[in-house]
Amino acid sequence: MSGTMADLKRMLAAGPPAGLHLLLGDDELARDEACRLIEKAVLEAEGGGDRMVVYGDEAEPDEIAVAAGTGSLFGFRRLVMVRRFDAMPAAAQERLLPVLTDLPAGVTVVLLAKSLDKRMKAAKALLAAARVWEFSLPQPAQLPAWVAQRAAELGVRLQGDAARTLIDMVGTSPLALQTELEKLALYAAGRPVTAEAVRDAASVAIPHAAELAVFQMAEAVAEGRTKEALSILRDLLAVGEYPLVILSLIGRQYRLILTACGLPAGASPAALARALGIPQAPARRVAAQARALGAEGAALGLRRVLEADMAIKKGLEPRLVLETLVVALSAMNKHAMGKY
Amino acid sequence: MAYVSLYRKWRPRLFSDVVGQQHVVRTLSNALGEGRIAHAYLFTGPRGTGKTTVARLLAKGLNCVNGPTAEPCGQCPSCTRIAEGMAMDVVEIDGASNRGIDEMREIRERVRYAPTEGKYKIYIIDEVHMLTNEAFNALLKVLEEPPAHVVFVFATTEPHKIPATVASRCQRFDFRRLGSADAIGRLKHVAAAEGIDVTDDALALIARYADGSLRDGLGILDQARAYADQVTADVVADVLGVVPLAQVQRFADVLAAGDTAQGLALVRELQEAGRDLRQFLKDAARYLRDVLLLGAGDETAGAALSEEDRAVLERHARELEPDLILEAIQALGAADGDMRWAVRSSLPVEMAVIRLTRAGGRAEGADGAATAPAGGAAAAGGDAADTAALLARIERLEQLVAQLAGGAAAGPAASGGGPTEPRDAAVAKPSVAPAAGPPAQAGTEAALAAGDRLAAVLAHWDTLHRTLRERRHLEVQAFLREGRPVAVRGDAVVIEFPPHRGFHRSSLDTEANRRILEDILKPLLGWDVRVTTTLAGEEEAGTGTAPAAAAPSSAAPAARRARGSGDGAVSQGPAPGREGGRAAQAAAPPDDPVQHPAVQEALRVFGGKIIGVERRDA
Repeated sequence: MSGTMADLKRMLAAGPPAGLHLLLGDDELARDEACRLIEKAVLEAEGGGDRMVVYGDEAEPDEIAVAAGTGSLFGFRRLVMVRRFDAMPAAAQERLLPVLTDLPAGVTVVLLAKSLDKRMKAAKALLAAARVWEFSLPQPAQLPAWVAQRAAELGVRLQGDAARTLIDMVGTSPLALQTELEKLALYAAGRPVTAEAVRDAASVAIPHAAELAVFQMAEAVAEGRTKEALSILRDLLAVGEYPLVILSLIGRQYRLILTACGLPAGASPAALARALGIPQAPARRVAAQARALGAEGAALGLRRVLEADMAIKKGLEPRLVLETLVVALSAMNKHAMGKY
Repeated sequence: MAYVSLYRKWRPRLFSDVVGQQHVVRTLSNALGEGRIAHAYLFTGPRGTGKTTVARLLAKGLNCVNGPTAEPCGQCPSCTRIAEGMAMDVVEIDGASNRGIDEMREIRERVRYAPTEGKYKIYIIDEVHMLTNEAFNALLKVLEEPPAHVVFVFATTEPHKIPATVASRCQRFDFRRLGSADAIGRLKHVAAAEGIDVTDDALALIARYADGSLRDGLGILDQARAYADQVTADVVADVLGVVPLAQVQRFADVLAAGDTAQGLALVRELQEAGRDLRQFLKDAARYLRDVLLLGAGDETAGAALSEEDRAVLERHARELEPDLILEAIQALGAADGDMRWAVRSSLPVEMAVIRLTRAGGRAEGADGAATAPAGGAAAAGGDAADTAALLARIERLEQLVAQLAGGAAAGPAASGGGPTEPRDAAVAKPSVAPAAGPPAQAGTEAALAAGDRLAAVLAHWDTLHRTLRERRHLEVQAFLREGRPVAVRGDAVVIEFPPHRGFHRSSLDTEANRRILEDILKPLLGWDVRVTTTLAGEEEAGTGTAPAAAAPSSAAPAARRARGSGDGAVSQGPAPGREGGRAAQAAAPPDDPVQHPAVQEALRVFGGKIIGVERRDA
């Protein structure tokens, strides 16, 4: 049975933790915070103690066994943290079992891992012997509230769509959201933070950036909003986004539209999302674009993308190619939207 | 004292000196002011936007004797040593050459030790995206357990190459390209402080080519001031090797007017001036991009231009159709690519000019890729044939232009042209003179074809004379010298003699002499040439009212658009002079429909034979 952050805090309030603790889950931020709480509880408890941090992908089992099997030389307690315990070979984990399941008094061992393979003997034994704390990523629906709460803790006053904008830009990683909130707190310096301020100061998550912005750009293009599309494109280029990455994502958008063109007219949002392999909200927007453009328009758009690709590879200035592509597609789609 | 380049001399010493990165400066200043320092920063953005500079300023702010502070004193030992690059606690590492796991392990070892002088040990790793995966993995371990006295600053132009695990543990700042206004402002400030005499349009040009990088902008200014006492736009253009804006604007005028002759003349002038034609293609494409964007409502397009040039840009945005601009950008790009393989580097440029200024590139399939069907193999084959034909045509036109520019200052371009009349309008006019009879479109096409053939004859006229000399037909050449080709009707080349040279005409016009000429001309021209002669008076009759071909004027764009739309309405302006009238006469369809130039051209192009003529009354 695993515990939550609230359970952990309650336990720590009762006194410094002892024994074996297993911190699991995808939420790196929560795991790190749990680690710091345990560390603080151990080291700041009466009598003090020492701390040792090792990594599962580089430490020898004997090194960990010696550290965990002996008490502190400088205080009453010893904390041994093994990060990336899941990167340690199963055989090495097994070798540690005798020590980890029978720790001396005053020794606290914290193992951090995303997950453990529960089929393995060592994992089974550890899950049975340790206090397990599990930290999963917040559900998408919970994120706005999560962001609002974290912002409040940092003294950031989010207004309007600021939380939503931040999530759209940064993505769903709590660690990345927290880092951006800390930056926003410094940027705002006590002033309210609007969606516009978020757009100005926050950094779009790297793997997410082009995808999100290009989607917005493709929407603007699809609706003939040339100026807006150009503005987004320019922002992407300004932060050094690769033109070919942008181009490939524009192409992806048109492939999605083309796919949507082949789906039944009354397809449900869930069916759309399944067919397109994207969440329902963007799937609905893609479907609307497909209705406006039609298969022919989408194919033409895709061909323009291909031509732009060739032009860049033939040595034409990428920025110029992308800008003219956006204008060409936008003009084409403005016409299509008019018909639609 | 050793010379210090402008960009080093004017590197910001305070956060307030940093231009165009307010969002970064504000956040970092607040962080320093409040002492809320992250253990790792990731600075991303294009080159020359201030990443390393701000990293050093951050280091100063952290280790200044008054620090952490947003306003480092710049005087204390720590600040001065950081400015000199001598600080023990500020370690700058080039990620490109220290990219392996060993280097990162070394850093992991070193970060344990406390700073020697200041409060923090700052590691600035430039080009951090160059690290290997193993090195990033080692670096991540430091970031997961960072010592309190260590601050990392990673700088990169390629943030997508940074593993998400590393990036998510850094406070990331996106440095943006400088806007034109910011760049010009800073350049102006530096120029004034350095006593550099620089014009506004020169600054605008520098800002444009610096492309948001102040370092590059200062570098260009540095070079330009060594080049001339007064830094003007022309000086900057010379330094950069770019084509002066006026020439590019002229190219846009040529496009708007659909003026092939002027376009070819421009290319020739650029060559004669030693300009790099590939650079011209790039500059022209960039300019057209600005025209396109401005036309699409993007007010930032051409923001770095002077007021006067901006007005020209706006005029071009009004005059040029977006389709034509898109087509032109594609054609210029294609020409740029073709130049690598062309025997004569100017040919692809001239071909692009002809495509874009003549019957409309789209109609001719000039933009191949843009208008070809998706499955395009056939289109590609068509393009190749089209290219070969155009190359041959350009070759002929080029010689013609050279010939006309050299000798045929054949009198001022007849009437009505005004100062913008192309010097070799005589070339352009026949090619676009409208046919007199219906159908108008077919007549126009026929006139175009006849004009091409005449151009080809003119292009080979010198060769004809030379061959006559080589073959010792000196008498024939002597007679021929008094005449010149004025038209092509079907396969017949019409040679006109002045009224007082009837003797020369009649002497030349024998079956034997005609055969000599035809035998030489046939292989040169590639069709079954016949030669006919005429006296000038005979041709003049009834030619005075024929309209002139399109000449550059304020109405030209409209005319070009009309032509593009296929209505063939290209005639305008006052009545032509002699040359234009003659050309129009030559292009007019004869009474015999079989001899109609359009029919003859169709036969030439497609082969086949006429099996009958059917008249249809309107």
